[in-house]
Amino acid sequence: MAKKSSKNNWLLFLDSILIILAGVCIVSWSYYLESTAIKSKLLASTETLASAVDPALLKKLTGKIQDQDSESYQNLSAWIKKINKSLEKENIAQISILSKSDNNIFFFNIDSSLDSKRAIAPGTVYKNPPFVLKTALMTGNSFVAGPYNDEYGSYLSAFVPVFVSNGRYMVITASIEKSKYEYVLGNSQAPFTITILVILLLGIILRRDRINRKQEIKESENRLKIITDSISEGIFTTDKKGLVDFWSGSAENLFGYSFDEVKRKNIKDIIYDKKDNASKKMFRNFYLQFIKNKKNKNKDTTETKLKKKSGELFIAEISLTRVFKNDEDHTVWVVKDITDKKDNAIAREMMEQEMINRSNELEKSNIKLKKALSRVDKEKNKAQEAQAKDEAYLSSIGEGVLVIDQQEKIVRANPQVRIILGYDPEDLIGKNILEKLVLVDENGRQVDISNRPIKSALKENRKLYFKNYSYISKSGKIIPVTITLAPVILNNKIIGVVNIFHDATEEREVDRAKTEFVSLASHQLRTPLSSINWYAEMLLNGDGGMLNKDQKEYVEEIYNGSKRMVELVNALLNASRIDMGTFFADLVPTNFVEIAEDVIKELEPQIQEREQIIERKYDPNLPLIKSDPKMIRIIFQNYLSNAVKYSPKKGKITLKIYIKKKQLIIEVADNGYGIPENQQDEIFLKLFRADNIKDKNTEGTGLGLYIVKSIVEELKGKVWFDSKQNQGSVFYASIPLNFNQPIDPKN
Amino acid sequence: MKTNVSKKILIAEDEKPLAKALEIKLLKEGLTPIWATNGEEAIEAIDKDEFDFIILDLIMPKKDGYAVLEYLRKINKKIPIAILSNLTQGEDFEKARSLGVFDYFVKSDTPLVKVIEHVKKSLNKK
Repeated sequence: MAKKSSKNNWLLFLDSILIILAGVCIVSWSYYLESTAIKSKLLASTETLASAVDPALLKKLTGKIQDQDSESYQNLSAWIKKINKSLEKENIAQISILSKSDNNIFFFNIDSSLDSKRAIAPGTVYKNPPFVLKTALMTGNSFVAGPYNDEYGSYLSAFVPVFVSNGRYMVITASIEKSKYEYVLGNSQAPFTITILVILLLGIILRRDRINRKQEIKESENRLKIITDSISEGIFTTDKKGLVDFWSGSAENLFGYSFDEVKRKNIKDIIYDKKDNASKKMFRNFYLQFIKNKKNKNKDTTETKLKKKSGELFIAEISLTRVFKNDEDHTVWVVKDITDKKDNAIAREMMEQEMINRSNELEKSNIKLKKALSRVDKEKNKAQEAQAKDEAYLSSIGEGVLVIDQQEKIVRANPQVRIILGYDPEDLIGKNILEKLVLVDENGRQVDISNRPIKSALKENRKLYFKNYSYISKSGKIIPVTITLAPVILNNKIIGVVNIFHDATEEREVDRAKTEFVSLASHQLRTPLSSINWYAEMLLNGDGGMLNKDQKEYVEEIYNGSKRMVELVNALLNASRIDMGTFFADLVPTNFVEIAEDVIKELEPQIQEREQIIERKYDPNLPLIKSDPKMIRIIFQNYLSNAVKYSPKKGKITLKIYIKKKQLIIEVADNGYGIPENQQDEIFLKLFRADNIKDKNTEGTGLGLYIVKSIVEELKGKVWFDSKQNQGSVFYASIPLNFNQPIDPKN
Repeated sequence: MKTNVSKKILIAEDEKPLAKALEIKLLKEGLTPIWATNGEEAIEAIDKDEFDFIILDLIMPKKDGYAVLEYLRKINKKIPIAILSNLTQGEDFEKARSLGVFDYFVKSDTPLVKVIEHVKKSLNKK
């Protein structure tokens, strides 16, 4: 476009020169024509005049001042004047007759009326005649001369010779003053008209050229616009600063900005979404790199997100091309919205796959449909059946079921609730369970709303089980219940609780009977043992007189036997409580070290007797832990007494108490007999005693570790051990702190 | 020891051999033991006499140890007491504690000497 335009300018210049030259030629030519016309006209007029002159009259003229008065001269003059009058419009200034005598040319001046200055008397010598006059007088040929200068002025003259006699000519001359001649020439319409015409012509040509050029540009623009508008790609150009200098209709369509809106604006302020990282990256890594690396590439393509005027983002394929315009780098942008293409590609693929699947399935469906139709009825029945089953189940089970929502409201209650508590389910639904149902603890005290199990059930993601609570029935009766609270979880959120309870009156009575029986049995067994113990003790203390060595030994056996019997009773009592499920943890702040020390003190006699060393390693920062001190005592008693019993004389026992991974660990190590490898699996079983100690020590009950395991499990902990025969054993018990919450000692 | 001669110790115990063993031991210590074979007798004795210490069994005919404790609370009489029982349940310890007695010995687990030591210690505090 640029080159074409400069070429056009050059052509235009040449055209103009030629037109001007032509104009000049035409003007000169027209002047020439006009001047020739005047001269020929003058000649013609003079010839007419000459032909009208009677040569006889001319013969009579002498060429002297006297001629002025002669008849011939008078007649001639009058006659010429008459002719001249008819030729007046020809601007002839003077009509003269010139003749020659000797070497002088002189006048027979006929008419000088037009200009008195030039009244020349007859016979006056013509001092500076034009050269052609002499030729005309000698040759008899007519001539037009001038403009020329003589003593009278500047003239244009026609010389027409008239034959007088014997090769003597007299010349009739008519002269036009030079100024008149030039005036006539200057007044000629032709050159003016021509000039105007030429100018007009020039104007028309130039104008036509301009129109042509404009049209051409417009056409090319239109062509470009049609091309760029009709394609879907947005096309625009930016200069080296990134300012927009061309913006196609398609760019307008794509981005929503008109050219006026974006003209001379930086492209990054237009199509680049500053909040979008992909766009940012594009400008930094793609566009700016493209501008910088002039030598590398003249075209580059990328895909990125761009922003429309509406703020809408779209996935664009951008292609940049470098062009040179007015010696500057420009970038042509071709931007294609490929959002749909991207989506469509996936969608199409899916659809195609879907189509295949569909058509495959269609046939199957047809068959299935028939089957399904027959099944619908069945399913319908099934659903109704299931619902009926639910209802039947809920109404037939012995348990009262209350479904509680997050706001502690009862949303469902089964008929059993009425049987157990006397409340109609309809009376309960929509009511807050905490307000409607009063809960009392084992001591008959009303449970505070803040301590109600429902509260923790709505927080803790686990099933909770309570054995010792009672509800107050509608009639005010205390109904012992066991309550199971199961959280209802939807999308990892507790949305409610199912409260299942049953009347535990009978169970409580059975439990109490069991406990009473065990308690009574234990009590009754202990009483005779107490007598044996005390009297054996009295005998040994010499309360019944001094015993001899043998007697003392025998009584000691009785005393030890009785003590073992007591231990056995204790162990049996605990074991039976465990078996009957009546051994519950009673959680109070517990000082583990204190209990351990107490147990060691009790074992002191045996430790001393066996000359064993006991090493204590307690974590100095042990907190008070909510636990059951009696149970903890049983753990220490069993672990430590086993270590004492099953280690040889002078053995070493190590007791450690520490916290590891939110667990309190009790660790008792000895360097004793150890446990045979083949029996290690059975060690925590009831009534187990290892083969290797049965003959060494007969005191064991076979219940100790079973009780420890049961107790620790009741406290949600674990028991384990490491043992090597004849090297020793390490027994562990871990008790989780989160179940047995540590207590801040300051409180 | 002579200072304790006048000190009267009530032994409420239905089991004769045990009561006798305690009696022997207390006498040896120069104390004056008085034996009540059940709760009723114990209450009668408390009404009749002034005691410096009571050794109280829990399971007794007619009226049990708890009844005795309740009576003492009722008449607002404050006498040092040690419970000596073969009941080993936590509930029993709790109940005794709730009635104001914190010294609880399980007979089968406690040597006689220890009981006497406790009584002596308690009397000396007075």
